[in-house]
Amino acid sequence: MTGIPLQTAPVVGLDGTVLVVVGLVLVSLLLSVVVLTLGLSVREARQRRRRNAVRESLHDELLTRLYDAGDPEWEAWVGTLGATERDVLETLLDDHLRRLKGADVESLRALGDALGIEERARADRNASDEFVRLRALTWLTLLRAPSDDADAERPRTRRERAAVARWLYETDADPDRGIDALLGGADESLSAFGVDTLYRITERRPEAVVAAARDRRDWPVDLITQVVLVCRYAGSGVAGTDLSWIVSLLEHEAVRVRVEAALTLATFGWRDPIADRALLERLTADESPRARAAVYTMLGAWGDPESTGVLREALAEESNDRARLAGARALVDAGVPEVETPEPARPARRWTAEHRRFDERATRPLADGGHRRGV
Amino acid sequence: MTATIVAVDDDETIRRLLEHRLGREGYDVHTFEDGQAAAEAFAAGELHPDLVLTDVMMPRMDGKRLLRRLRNGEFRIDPETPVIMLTSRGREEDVLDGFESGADDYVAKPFSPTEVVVRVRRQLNGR
Repeated sequence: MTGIPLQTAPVVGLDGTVLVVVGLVLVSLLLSVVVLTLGLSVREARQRRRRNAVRESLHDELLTRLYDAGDPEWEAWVGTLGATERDVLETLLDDHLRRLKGADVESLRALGDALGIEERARADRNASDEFVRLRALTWLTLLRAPSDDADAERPRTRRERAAVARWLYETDADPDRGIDALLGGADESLSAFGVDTLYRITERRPEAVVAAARDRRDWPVDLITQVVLVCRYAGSGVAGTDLSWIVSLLEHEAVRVRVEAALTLATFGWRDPIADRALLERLTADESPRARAAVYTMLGAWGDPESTGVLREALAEESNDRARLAGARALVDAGVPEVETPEPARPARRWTAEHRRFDERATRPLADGGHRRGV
Repeated sequence: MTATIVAVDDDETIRRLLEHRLGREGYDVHTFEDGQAAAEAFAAGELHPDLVLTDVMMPRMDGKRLLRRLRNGEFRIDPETPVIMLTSRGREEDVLDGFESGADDYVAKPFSPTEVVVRVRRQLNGR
């Protein structure tokens, strides 16, 4: 049997000693990483064990001082604590401030003062790390620390905009400042937290939000849509304000904005300045079937003779099935009888009426007080 | 005689708060971390609470299901035991569901433990 002899040849250009040295360096580095990782893990585990151990006793002491003592003497207690205990106590304070309300919270804020949290948080407002700034804002909000002029600087990110606005909202600052922090100079949509904060501000001061939103057609479509949706769900407070800015959005270039504006106006009911016949006729001629469907819903929700008249005329010409169905639903909602329904929309109207009867039967209570699970 | 109160919540901080505050009023407080744990204790007849305080949203078994099972007499405790629901702000629909399922009262979170004490007293005095 003939075979090819196995040959070992020195690596060209590298001498054996160099290879050994490189190998040793690599092994040393690897060992250092392993030792460092193990060391850090052990230290972390020790700290965690220690934190867990002190957490129990600190929690007991916190509740005892909060509820059982006449004067909790937070300053004196904090003075006896080491760094780890103070750190754990801050996490407990955070937990309790989020869950409690009333006089207990006032007392816990004094504990925050004793721990020097507010002072640190104000200093961290200018940190370069966004999350340090957000943490600082969270503390200032939990402690209801009042804002001052220096704090009113423009937030740098959308998360920070929401956090500043919530802080100003929770500390009952001038609502215009909160709205300005949230929406002033906004060039992108709000975070979920930002939408929630805007909703709260809108519930409290609808006219201020509406004033800020007016003439801001330069906002991105996503942001306009969010503000309109918040106004829709914020309730009757917005309905009593000047709605001309939402009316103007009925002719916005983005279909989504037109749809949400129409559905929002549907919830507010008929308003004299809106029900301009020329405008309504333009809207029912929208090139988008989705937008037309939303306008039909709006007209049906208003239900006045002018609106239902425009709706009936539009449905006589409607060519899109989905828009026609939305229009038929709107007619049923407005109580327009079938005989007054344009011929092309009558099948959709009958179908809608049948569904309404079905839904009504499904939700009607049974004689024994229960509900049907279906029909 | 000391009244026995069962508090069910998956949030440890809230369990500790209720245990401490109600315990300070002299009640015998037992806590469970979800509806399933409480249901098992009730089914075993280990506890005969005079009142149950329960969170609504919890893993394994939520507060509404625990309440319905209690009112249906599925446990070895009095099905008419007063129940106070702990609901979160923004979940007001849970209040209606709770009353429909037979809850006697509710407390919205964030809450004041002192308010809980007052509501507990009112339920116990009304029995």
